[in-house]
Amino acid sequence: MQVTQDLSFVHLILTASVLVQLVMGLLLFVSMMSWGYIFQKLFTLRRELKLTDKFEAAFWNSPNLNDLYKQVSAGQVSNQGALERIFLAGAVEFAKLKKQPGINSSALMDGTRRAMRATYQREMDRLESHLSFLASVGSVSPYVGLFGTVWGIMNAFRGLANVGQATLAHVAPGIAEALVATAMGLFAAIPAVVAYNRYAYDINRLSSRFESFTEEFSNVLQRQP
Amino acid sequence: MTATTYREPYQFSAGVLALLVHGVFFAVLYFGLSWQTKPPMEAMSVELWDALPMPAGVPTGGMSPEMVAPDAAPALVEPPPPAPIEVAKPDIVVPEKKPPKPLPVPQKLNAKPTHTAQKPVESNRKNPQSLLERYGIEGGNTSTTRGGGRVGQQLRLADAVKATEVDRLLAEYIGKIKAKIKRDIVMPPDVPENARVEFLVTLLPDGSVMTVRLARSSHAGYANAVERAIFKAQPLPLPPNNELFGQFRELKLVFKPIE
Repeated sequence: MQVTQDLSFVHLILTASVLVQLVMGLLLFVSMMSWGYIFQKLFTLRRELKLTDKFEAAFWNSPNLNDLYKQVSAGQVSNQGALERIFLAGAVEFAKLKKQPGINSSALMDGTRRAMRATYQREMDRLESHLSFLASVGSVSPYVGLFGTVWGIMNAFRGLANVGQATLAHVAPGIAEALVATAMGLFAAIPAVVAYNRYAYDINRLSSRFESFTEEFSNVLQRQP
Repeated sequence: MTATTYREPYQFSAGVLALLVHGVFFAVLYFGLSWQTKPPMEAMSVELWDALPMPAGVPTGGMSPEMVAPDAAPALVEPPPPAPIEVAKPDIVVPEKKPPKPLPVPQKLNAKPTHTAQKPVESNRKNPQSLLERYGIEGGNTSTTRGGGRVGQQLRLADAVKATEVDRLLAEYIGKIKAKIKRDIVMPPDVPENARVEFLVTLLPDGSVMTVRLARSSHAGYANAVERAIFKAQPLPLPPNNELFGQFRELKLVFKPIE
């Protein structure tokens, strides 16, 4: 290898050893996936936040719970937010239990709350899906990139052992192409970590809003005649 | 509630955006970064000079009037401000009071350099002393020249470097240079006593040797030994003042086994 050779980015990737290329390919794939999830979660959470605001406003402004129930249940499921589904589950369960003869008030409220709790869990599970993938990418991909780099540098030094007069020009291209793997690992990891932290915080806030809504809705139902 | 299979929304747009991000990133890397694709420039060596050295043959004292003028003019203009200070120190005021007077000296020198060269030295005994001072040579009764002041120095610079003084310094330092080189000569066997080698040595201002050219030689082995010694002896001793370096840039050094 000569120092005068082309050191462009593409050339570095194309001339890397097979294992380093594999690592780079893996990192590229992982990076694509994580960016995909980042955008998907971004849109989902933004939409969820908007729907939650809208439904909370509608809930507290509605004079009659029955009207609200009819309105919500008439709408399409795919257009509903998590909070609407929690509300619907509680209201449906409450109505069903109310029809049963001889049910006491605490059993009625327990059943309603359980139904809402189950829906809440399911909604949270959906909101949190793929977050663990982002966390894994954030923590693992630098190491994968580092592995590729170490391997590439090992190769570069092994090549150095075969030449009589060792100069920096012999190892520099090898090290440069090996370091591309670390760069790609970091490129995959940094957005994933940032996005993970951001989304975990958003989901945490949504979760506490859902929980407090569940409690408040239980109180409202308990006051029902 | 029925557990309907939930399909994540925004899958398509998220995928397209992820592709876009990577495309932009690689485009930036591809077009924005241009790593070293050309061979680096060849290394080159540069000599740094304080001022242009005088050609070795021309004595500095024999400058043409036009060349003297820029030096002499400040000497004429500058005196008025320091004049009160000179009055305050009355000891050497009298000899230094007349700045324009020495100006004719270089012109005279110019006209008849060889004859008058000695004259200013005689008439102004202080100058060689100050010259020694200027070239950083210790010794001599410097205290008498202390009071020279700025005016005197300017004048001395104008009519300054007396050929004899330069010659003396030149001889002294060539002697030093030769002595230093001789210490490093590893004498080869069977060198005849009458062997004689002549080298043209080009020096750099820091005393290191730039080129060595063998001008004349009567014994190849001895010439080789001397050439090695010249390189080994660097940096060669040079006068501390750079103004004289013009005399030392090209040196003709003659070596004999017995001197």
